[in-house]
Amino acid sequence: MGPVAAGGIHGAVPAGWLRVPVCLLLALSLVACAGMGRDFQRVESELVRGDTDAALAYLEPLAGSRLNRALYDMNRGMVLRHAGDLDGSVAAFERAKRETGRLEAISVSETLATWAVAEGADSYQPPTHEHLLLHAFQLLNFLELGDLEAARVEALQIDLGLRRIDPAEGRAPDGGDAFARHVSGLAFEANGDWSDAMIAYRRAYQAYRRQDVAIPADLQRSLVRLADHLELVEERDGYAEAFDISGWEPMARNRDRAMVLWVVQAGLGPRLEERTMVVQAAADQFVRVSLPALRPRPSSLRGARITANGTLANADPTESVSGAADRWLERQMPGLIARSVSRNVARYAVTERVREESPALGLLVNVAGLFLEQSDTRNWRTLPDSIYLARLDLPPGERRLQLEYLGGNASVLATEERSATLAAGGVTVLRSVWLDAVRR
Amino acid sequence: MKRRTKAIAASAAWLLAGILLVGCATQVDRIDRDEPQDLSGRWNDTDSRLVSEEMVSDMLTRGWIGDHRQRTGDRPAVVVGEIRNLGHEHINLNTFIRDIERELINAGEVTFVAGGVEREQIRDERADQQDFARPDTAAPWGQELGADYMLTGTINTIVDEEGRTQVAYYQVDLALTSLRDNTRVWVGQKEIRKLIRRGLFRS
Repeated sequence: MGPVAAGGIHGAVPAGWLRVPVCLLLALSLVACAGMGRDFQRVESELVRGDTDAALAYLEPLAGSRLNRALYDMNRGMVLRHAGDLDGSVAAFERAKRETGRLEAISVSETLATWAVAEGADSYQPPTHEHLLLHAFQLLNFLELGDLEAARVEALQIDLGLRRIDPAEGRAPDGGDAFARHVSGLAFEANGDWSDAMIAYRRAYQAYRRQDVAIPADLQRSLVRLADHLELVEERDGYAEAFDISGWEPMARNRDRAMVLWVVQAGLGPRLEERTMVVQAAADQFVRVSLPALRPRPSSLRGARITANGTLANADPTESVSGAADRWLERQMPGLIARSVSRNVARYAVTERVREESPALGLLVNVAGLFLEQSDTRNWRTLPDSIYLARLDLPPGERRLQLEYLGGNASVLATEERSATLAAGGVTVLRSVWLDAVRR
Repeated sequence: MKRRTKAIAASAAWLLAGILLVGCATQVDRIDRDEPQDLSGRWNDTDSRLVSEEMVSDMLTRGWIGDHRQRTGDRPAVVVGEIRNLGHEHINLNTFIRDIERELINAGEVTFVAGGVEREQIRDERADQQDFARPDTAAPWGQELGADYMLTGTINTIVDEEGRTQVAYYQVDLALTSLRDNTRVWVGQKEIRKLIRRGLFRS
């Protein structure tokens, strides 16, 4: 085997005659792939410009694809969330959840197609970290809508889903569980379910530690406060010492205070790109190996802080979507390579047999095989690259909230002021999107 | 012979077109509301209806109604308060509450008064009438029937799962509390257990 430039003459088909159409068709196929990507790039460009209506319009062609039904609704839900249409976002995310549940069963034809024909010939099933984030964003939608019970339902579904993956510990293989557990704790706490909140916070803490990332300040404080409230003295002292926390507000004051959560979605989730190599398997037969590679798209945001009523809270990074996607892709790679080899072996055998009958037809089959061999570059691209979260517990009433977006060296990139009417015992969620060119 | 072949070909074409059309068309069948249709294994309209029927029936056959009638000489007035979903599924509580209300009203044993958001809407309408309706037709303030009892409850779920088999256990707890002295006059519980075997393959 060798690169496409190498080759020789075999049978009645001259190598030069073969190489020109093969290269031409390959180039065309690559252009065709880029074209599909361009359609979605328009969705992202419009999101960055802040034109969510246009982004939704460019997303519509995906709606007709039977294989991408879940992906369409996940993207639609996120774009609607950007637009502030939370009811629409909830409906789209629910459809995506139902479709994902339906896809848990195996489709024999789709599985065979991925082994024999092409990656991406099956229905899009979100990887675990995307599935968890689907629930986590749905939970945040419900919290923002003031439907605390529905947010609690999402928290229970997150736990159920994780226990299905790992019955003993409820761990996710690639991440996403720390953030999902963290927001689950907030939902339980908002509902006054202290022990469920404690369990969720503990699991979030363990998940962050497994990922070897800093524990968000809000989680540190919540662990200490809840352990104190539940009279878990030893555990409380352990957290207080580990996080260097000496004073905290008792949980009993929650009912007199309003919980303000600020969620900042920074950047866009990583995109999968195709890396293709065409090699000459025989004198005049080519095979193509295409594998996906991850391209992260972080933003310039490095932190954020919120001030209100003389209290300041830092928004800490609570989830790195690109990190989870990176771990997921690394885990998938052996399977992707195995399937690529399987498809190429099958195509090689078929092409050889056809070529024995008719060299011209053999060439066509070879070219068709090269066309088909494309990597599956589908993923939930409207997810943020990272998620920042801050929490303030404030006295109820009309409050002015100062939001600061920070870049490298804690330089202030932008400031914003919002006002909110806070209700005692209630939850107010502030939502921001930082896409460098646009801030909402 | 040629004509016969043509006729057969035409018939076959029509038949094929018919099959294709039938295959492509969305089919809708009306089904009886009493016929249980469990598609996903989740809480559905049948669960909501059966639970409300059984629980209200149980509630209305207990001694508290007789006690109330003996004490006041009147039918008890009941308002439905908060029913919380504490389970792992999004359950449309509105349809469940409506089912309970329907059963309570149709039984004719109690007087049912509106509560929650509906009561606020009625009060808003009454307030509007004071400004915009003819005085002799405007509904007066302060004439609402105060409820004697409030019905509250929770829906809880426990899910146990092994492989593709899931047992979903729903527990609905309803309680009727006297608004006069906070005494619980009736507590009802209904359990539903569902065994859900998810298929390994899909089409």
